[in-house]
Amino acid sequence: MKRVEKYLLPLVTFFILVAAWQVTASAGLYPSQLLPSPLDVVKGVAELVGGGQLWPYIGVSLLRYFGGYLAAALVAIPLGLVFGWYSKLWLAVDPLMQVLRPISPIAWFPLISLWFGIGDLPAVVIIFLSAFYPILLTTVAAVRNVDPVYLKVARNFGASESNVLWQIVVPAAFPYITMGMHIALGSAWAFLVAGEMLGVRSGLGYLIIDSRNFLRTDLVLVGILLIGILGLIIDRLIGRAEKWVHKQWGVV
Amino acid sequence: MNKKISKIILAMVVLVLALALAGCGGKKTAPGETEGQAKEKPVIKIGYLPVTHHLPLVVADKLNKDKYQNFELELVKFSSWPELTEALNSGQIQGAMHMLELAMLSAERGIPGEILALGHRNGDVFTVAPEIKSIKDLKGKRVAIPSRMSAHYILLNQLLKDNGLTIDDVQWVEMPPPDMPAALARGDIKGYLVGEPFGAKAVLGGYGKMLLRTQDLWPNWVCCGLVMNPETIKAYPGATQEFVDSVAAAGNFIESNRSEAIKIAQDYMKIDEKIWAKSFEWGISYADLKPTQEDLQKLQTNLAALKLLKGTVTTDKMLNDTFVTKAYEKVK
Repeated sequence: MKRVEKYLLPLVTFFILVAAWQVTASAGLYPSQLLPSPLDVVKGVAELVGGGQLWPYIGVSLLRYFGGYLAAALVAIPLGLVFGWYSKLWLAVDPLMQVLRPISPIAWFPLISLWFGIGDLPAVVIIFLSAFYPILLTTVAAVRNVDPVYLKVARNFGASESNVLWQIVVPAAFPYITMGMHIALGSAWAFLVAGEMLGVRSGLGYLIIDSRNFLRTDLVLVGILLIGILGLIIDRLIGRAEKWVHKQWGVV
Repeated sequence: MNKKISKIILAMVVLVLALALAGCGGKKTAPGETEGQAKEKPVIKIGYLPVTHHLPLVVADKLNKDKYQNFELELVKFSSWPELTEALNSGQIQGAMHMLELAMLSAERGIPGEILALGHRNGDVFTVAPEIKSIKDLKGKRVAIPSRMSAHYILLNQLLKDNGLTIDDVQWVEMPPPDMPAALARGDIKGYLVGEPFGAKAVLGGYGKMLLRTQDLWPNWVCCGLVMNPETIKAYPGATQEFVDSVAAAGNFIESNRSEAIKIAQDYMKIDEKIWAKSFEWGISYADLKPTQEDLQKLQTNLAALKLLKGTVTTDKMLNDTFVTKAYEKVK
């Protein structure tokens, strides 16, 4: 596909969407306080930038987010390697993981605030929880799906268990692990709003909740758009990193 | 290739238009549009939260269920103020037991509501950890409020000021009220000022104590009231009168039959009977549910002083006490 189209087509989608939004907003079906127009939202951005809150909010949200996400990766990847490698262990914990996995981190609120209090920590924990399972499960699957031929060959050459794990399994599984990390990135970012509900006074999630309390739908939309746009940027950056990893490890 | 692109764009345009049309077609008809055409009673939906301030509404519903002559009452329970506010402002419900501060904010943002009656007077408390002996002990500590847009925040500001402190001397946080007792029990916060029954819960649980009552600071304190959509009131004055009559009568019923009222509430709110009884010790009153200009102006002035409202709403436009005045004439 031509390079121009790559940028042109998304822009067309964007303009059509904004136009439809503007038309709906100015049709007068809903009071503008309940459905602000794109222009109101732009004014809202200007108001926040002028008030000096916007950049600190973005910064603190990114900090909480990467804190939770990286912690999840650091715990889930080693755990996934172990679970994937020792089949019997996975047999023992698999049902438990499947029970826990579909539960929204929001449902854990009472226990999270019991154990982690209020403030930054519960926000990080919520993001941790939403990133943890996708990374863990893809890591386990990646290890279990390593071609048995590799393992047989390695063992025939007399490789020890730890050699097989570190020199065959980990490199073979790594590209798939990065895929899991990519998936987790989105699901973790989506829970930022929920994470910032427990007694914090900063961040993009807080911006949405606080603006909602003050009936400022325009600022709610600013928060939504910023979270969406930052999500896109993060996704693209990780996408590039993933491609690089795949090239290094020879997967297309 | 170019043709392909234009086809894609065309498809997108069609899709967006279809979505926009579907959105317009789905608009609900207001209940006012059926008035007079059919003999069928209109359904009036009223929102509430499971808090002690809203007791008269649920008692009115229980005592008059299916007995209203001019309308059918449908109560809608919400779990937070923003949800209730959005439902009311977008016309999904025709009225609500509403936080008066939020009603004023809505009016200021161009969505008017009329304040017909109060839900209660007095009775909220400042709950603190046992080691807190006075307001001064809260310096540097974390204190929870439901939202800055609340009379509780006004009171917290005033309390600190009366004790030579400012709002910046405490770490205030906004929290959903149901989370507050547990946060106090864990020591995450050292106190909270919020509507009942959340104070009573901590006191009964043994990890909180009542430091002072709202009426100690602000006699005849008001917080929640019955707010209705002006169009509904205009379309159904008879129904509105009948409804407000029943709410005022429910207030009197609660005053003379407290234990009965607590039993009724069990059908509507998951609040333990012991917690109700404890909370009632703190002087909540349902006897005089008629709001006054002074009540509303005091709220508005204070909120404007804290820069939470512009203070531009004329409270006499919002206050409509004709229904409640008539209601009290009937019972007295």
